[in-house]
Order: sequence, then structure tokens, then C-alpha cells
Amino acid sequence: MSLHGGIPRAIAADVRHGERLEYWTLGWMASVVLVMWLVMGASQAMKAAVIEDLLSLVPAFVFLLSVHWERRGPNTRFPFGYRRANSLAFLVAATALLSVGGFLAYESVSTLIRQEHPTVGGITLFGQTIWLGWLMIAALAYSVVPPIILGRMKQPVAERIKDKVLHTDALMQKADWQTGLAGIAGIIGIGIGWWWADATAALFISLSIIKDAIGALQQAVAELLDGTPRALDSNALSDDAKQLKATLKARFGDVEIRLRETGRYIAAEADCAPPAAIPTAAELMGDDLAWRLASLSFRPEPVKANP
Amino acid sequence: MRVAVLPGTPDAAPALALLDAYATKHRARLMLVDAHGEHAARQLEDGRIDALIGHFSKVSPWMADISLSKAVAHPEPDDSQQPVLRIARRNGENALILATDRAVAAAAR
Repeated sequence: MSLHGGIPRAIAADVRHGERLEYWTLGWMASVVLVMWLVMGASQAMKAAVIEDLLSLVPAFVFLLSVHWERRGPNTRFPFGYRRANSLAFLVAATALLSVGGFLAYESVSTLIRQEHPTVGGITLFGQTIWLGWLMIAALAYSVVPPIILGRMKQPVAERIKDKVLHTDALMQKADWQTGLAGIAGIIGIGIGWWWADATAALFISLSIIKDAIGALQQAVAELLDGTPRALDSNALSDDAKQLKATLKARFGDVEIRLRETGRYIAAEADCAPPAAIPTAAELMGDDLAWRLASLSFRPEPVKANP
Repeated sequence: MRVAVLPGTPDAAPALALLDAYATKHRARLMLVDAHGEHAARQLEDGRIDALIGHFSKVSPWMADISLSKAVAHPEPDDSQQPVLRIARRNGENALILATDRAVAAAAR
């Protein structure tokens, strides 16, 4: 690992675990999309669910891409390496989550306004004509299982490697299983004549997805604007960043300390002359999180900005 | 049960028989209503008629607005553009749609 490239040894195994989970996600969710496509018939609600499942592949894909770039070392064209690919991937993943929520909300509201009565007819299989709704419910039940399991497995890994893309993907999986359950409720509703059940359930779930997505988007923008590192699951400042700032102030006095996040790594800047003995990352962050501190710079004469 | 047969559907009898059986099963009776072309499809959409019998292709432009059955008394043509006898039902009338789908499949067997 160099200063601006590669995965630190302390988290290499967890990052590989995260990659395996994302490969599983792509495989399982592709099978979900295929099953849903086979039974969607002329149902607009099922078509929306297929589009939503396709969009949900985006965070997994961009996570794998960003880790691939993170491993690359710096070069002449990119002297600071590719670690910020993770920040870019986070923005893409958050946007995908917002798109899913927005799409679901639009579909639900337009269905309710137009009072569309969804049609679910019969399908002939092995000589028997059965209600297509049963197959849709089976497909939706299948679509709920992988996201519940994979989403739960991703959360602790995302926390350990401080990866917001993986965390956003776990949120996307939550959106997937919630819309799957709403879809089942909706199909049952259609069966008993409640045409509005599907759209109403989906509308409530879309609001929760949009709330999560806006939070993630705020964090992603803050990261790209060199904001102080944020917590994994909220726009509040992260605990380790607050701790690092306090430690640096304790060592170097009441000087200006600036922290920013590049992907999963923190860069710190102190407005003071470099000390005779530069503290190690382990001394400042503790052994477990030493890998998080990518650089510590000292600026003896801060330049005053023009008003 | 209000049913319209589109003009130019000389072979509507099997579809009418099928709908008549459905109506009888539900203690209703079939009432033929005059309807033509686009106006007929609009009447179906608005719920002024319950079913429309006519020749429709599998890729009919009406497909999104109404629910078409499989081909009645004929095998499904290989060419999806070819119009064949079908029963059009109002979207969302899922009980009628499922019952007629079952009856069409049973008649085909």
C-alpha cells in the first residue's frame, strides 16, 4: 500500500468480504429481475418493481468499481491516486437510491390520481389456468429474501471499513425488501378488489426511501466538498473525526485543525509548525483505526484568503 | 351483462356462448349493445359495457387500455399482427378476466 493508493492491510480482508457480498448481490438480484420479468404480464406495478430492482444493482456495481480503482497506485495523471473514486461512487449510489424512491413515488401518485385499476388475469401452466397474481406473489416473496439477508450482512462490514457506498447499498436492499412486501400486499389487495392498495403501500415506502436517499446525498456532497468526515448513517460529524480533532488540539494547542474525507480515509491539516517528532497514525487514531488517517499536514503560515 | 360485438365479426358465436355461460353462472343475462370502432373501446374503458367481442391482434394498440383474451376458438396465430377473435375486457375487472381466461383455455383444450 502506498500513501495514495491500495487497501490498508488492516481492512483488506473486510474489503474482500464486501466485494464477495456485492458479487452475490449482483447474482441474486439479477435472478430476481429475471423471475419478476417472467411473471410481470401487463401489470404496471410489477414493471415498476422490475425497474426498481434493476436500479438497485447500481450501488453494488459502483462499489466494485471504486474498490478496483482504490487498489491502483498513483501515476503521473493522477498523482493522488484513485481513492476519491469511493466518494464519487457514494454520490452515484445515493443518486440511484433517490431515483428509486422518486420513481416509486411518481408511479404511486400517478396511479392514484388516474385511478388505474391494475389488471391481473390468468396464465395457463401445465394445462391449468391459474391466477397470475399467485405467481407474482411467489416472485415477490423470492425477491424479498436475498435483500434481507445480504443487507444485514453488509451493514457490519460497511461499519468496519467505513464504506458509505456499501452502507448505501444496504439501504438499497432495505428499499428492495420493503417494496417487495408492499408489492405482495398490493397484489393481495387487487385480488380482493382494492385497486388502490398497491399504490398506497408503495407511496409510504417511497417516502422512507427518499428520506434515506436525501441523507446519503447530503453526506456525499459534503464529502466531495471536503467537508469534515461524516458518520456512516447520518450527516453528523463522525466520532473518530471529532476524537482526532480533540487529540490534535491537545498535542498542538488551540490551533486551527481541518479534517476532510477522501473515500474512507481522513486527511488532517494543522495550522502550526511541524513538531520535532511527528505522531504516528496509531498514536492519534488508536491501533484499530490507524489506517483511516491517510495524511497529516502542517501549515506554519496560514495564507489569508482574499475577502 | 352488457356485451358489444364489433361489426365485421361473423364468427363471434363461440365468444358469445362463453360469455353467456359466465353470465348464467352468475344469475345474469347477456344484453347485446350496439357499439362501433373506437367508440366501443371507449365504452368498455368507461365501464358502459362489460365485454367487447371482435378481431384484435396480439399487439393491438388498445392492449394498454383494455385486457384482451387469448384467441377464442382458434389457435394463437404465429404472426402477432394477425387479428383473431378475442374478448376484450375492462382493465381491473379481474374476476371476469380470470373466469374468461379459464373458459377460453378450457375451450381450447
